Amino acid sequence: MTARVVITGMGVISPYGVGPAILWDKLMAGETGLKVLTSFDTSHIQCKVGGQFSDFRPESYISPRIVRKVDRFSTLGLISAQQALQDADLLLDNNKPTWSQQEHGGDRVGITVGNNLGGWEFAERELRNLWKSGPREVSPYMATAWFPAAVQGNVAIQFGIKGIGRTFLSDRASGALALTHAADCLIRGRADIMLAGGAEAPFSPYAALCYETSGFMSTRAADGSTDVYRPFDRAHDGLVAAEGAAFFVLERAEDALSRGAKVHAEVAGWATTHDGYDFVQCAPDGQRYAAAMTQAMDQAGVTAATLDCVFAAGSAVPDEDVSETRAIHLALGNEAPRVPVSTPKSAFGNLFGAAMPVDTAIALRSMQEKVIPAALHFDQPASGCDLDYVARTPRSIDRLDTCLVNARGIGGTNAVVLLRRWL
Amino acid sequence: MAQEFTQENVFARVEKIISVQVGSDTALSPGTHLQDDLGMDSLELVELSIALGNEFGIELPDADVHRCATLSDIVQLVQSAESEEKVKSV
Repeated sequence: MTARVVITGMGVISPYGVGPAILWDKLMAGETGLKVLTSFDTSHIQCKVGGQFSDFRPESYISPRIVRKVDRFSTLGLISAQQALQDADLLLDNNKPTWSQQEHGGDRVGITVGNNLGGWEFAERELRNLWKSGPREVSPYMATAWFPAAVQGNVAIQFGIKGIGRTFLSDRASGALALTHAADCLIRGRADIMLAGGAEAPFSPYAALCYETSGFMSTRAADGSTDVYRPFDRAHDGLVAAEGAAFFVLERAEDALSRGAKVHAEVAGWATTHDGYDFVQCAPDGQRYAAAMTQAMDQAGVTAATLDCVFAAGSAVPDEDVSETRAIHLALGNEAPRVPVSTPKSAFGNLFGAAMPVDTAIALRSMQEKVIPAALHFDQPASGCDLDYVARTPRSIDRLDTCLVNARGIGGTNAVVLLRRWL
Repeated sequence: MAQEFTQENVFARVEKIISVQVGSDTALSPGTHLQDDLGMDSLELVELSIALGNEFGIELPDADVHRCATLSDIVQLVQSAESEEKVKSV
């Protein structure tokens, strides 16, 4: 019998703040997490708003000695990972993991991370030092701070994780690939505990330029409007970036139960596919995206008739919204119009490499509360978008036992996880 | 030896640099071990090397700093480097 994988710990940092509670509360209150970007000069980009966590005080959570040596995206990752381990009851009072007390205890613990941009805030500062003052003025921590796998390294060192380590860079699907790979590692017996998630800090001049040149960012945000992130809405015109991180502790159910862990939900199915279509554009037909959804449902033994909700990737890039709608139709068939589609990221932005992990954090709470968060900015569906998009106000439903969480990166990298209530 | 390179003076300045680096409020002693007591890693030692160079106006090879075990070793390294600089400049 194939092992079952469950989530036993969760940590999340969103533009609203640290922890899952503030994220949920703000979503339920219908508060926007988007604001005019102020941490850097945005005169060179059009998308001048984003989900920026302005009053982030990392020293309240981790040592200042660590904070000054890493980029913001690693700080976000470290804190959310720490909170996930705490939530899973795997941290001792001294913030060391429980496995630190066992010889070779960390050998069977792994980490997978999704990230897109790396640590450009740190890197840009040090490049300025290089050009202005020479190589001796470049921080020695540049070597370990800037690159996308820095979160993996920092978290592994901090918590003595000595098993599998992988970082995935696949645009907005990166975090989803981290979760699916973690689940694979557990099923294949390659680890006993997996810490999986994503982190992103996209607000620096060069990082912002990188995503701006993709052509996928909202241009309506040029005037500082904060109601511009509109997945599936008639006025959709592209992405709005956000920063944050989310990490989860995944274990085989039998291991989790034997140590008395609480279970948030089962990761009951997962799948990844590629469109194989274009470097940048997703395939309009949505067939391979639908295949990922179908495979994830098949693995979980869930049919369209028993699926309760979809958390869509919801990029708000017009062609991608239409393609995702088609894919959901293909995957769910006649049931597609019935299944509510949620895009809570409309309220706070797209966290790129951490987008799907943050959606997963919201979905877990959603299943617990039987409430589907709404797309804050949605008035009328766009042409070609004809699903039951949960709009403006959260929706209570009688049954929310299964939930598909979608992710789709540039050029059609598709990753889907099916969450199921653990009974 | 110039006033600013006496053992006491150099120790006080080295102590200040390292205290900032490791975020320590507690007093350090000449016998404080960089790795065992303060947990300094390889990159922190590189950073220390750069900071010492800036503070004392001397060039300290990273490898020499890596060979130092205690604060006292660092003080001796700075003092001998300063003496060598002085000889070169004569």
